[in-house]
Amino acid sequence: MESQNSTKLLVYLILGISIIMSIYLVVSGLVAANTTGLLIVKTNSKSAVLSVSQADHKAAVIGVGSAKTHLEPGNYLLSAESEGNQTSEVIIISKKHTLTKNIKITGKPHIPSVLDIDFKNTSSLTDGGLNSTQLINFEQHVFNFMPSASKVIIDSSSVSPGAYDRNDPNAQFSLNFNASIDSKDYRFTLKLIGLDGLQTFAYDTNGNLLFDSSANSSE
Amino acid sequence: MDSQRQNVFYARLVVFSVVLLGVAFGVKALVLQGATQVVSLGSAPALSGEISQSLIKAGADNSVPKLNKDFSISQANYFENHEWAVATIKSTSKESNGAFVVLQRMNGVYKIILGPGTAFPNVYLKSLPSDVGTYLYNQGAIYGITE
Repeated sequence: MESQNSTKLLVYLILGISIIMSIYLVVSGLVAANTTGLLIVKTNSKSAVLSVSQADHKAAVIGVGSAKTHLEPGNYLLSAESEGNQTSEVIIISKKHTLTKNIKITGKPHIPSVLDIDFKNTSSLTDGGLNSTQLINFEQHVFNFMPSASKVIIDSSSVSPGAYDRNDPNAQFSLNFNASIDSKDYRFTLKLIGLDGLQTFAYDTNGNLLFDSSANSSE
Repeated sequence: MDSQRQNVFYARLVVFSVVLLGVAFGVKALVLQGATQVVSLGSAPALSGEISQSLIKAGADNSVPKLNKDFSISQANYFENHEWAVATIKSTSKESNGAFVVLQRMNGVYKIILGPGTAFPNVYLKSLPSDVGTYLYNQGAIYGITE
């Protein structure tokens, strides 16, 4: 008799706990669904550590390789780190909305600069008369012209001096050449000014002026 | 016989409890579109969350380095009406001069633009606000040809 009562008590206790837990699970799920946003992240690296942080808050890891998590509405810094490389971006989480991010881990945090551009055949410009300072200035002008450029290939065979009027006291030595920026062709004219000065003009294949370094200079 | 029926009834109740819990888990997963993880970030000193993210090393224990345990922020300077910040961070495990982290505020969140590093090439000066560049230069954190 006593054992039957104990069994009865135990069973009803289990039932009671499961009912309470079930209600809690469903209610907490509904509350979370209505008060948070869903963030889905995919990366190009299976071992990438994904994390989020907010202003004046701690950071938290949300997954490795990919993540699917609910976050309270707000602005977050989403970061992906893999093999010493890291990419991060600011994301905005909205209530009851799903945000999907595909992150390509590119490198360490850095400011886009002329260092991101791979220049080929620049020796043809120095052979044509540019000194090292003018070459550095030319590369900076290309970056100013096209900050998103990744590869610049100078057509060495096209490098030629521009028209030079020896009778003009203000005449400047110039250099003309063709170059491609990320596989798109351009025509360049460089005006060498004094010892180290340089002015760069970039034209499209139809001869339209696209860039003048003196007009775009912040120096 | 009654006892047997009672035992069967109790067994069914237990099974029902388990099934109920399973259904509740399933409903929660459905409602949360398969993502039952809900992340809530605790409060922390300014910039520490963003900086600790930059110090995460994948493949180690994949954990977030903790402020004042794994690293410390010895100095934080703000520029351009708090739109830019430069923080000096140090390891807590060994003596060091510190490394610089340059952050820019975007949509209310500071994003790391440069670093952590002890020095940066001078070409970056052209892309930084002048007071940020000047501060880094004065700290000896800029190298390369200076025009």
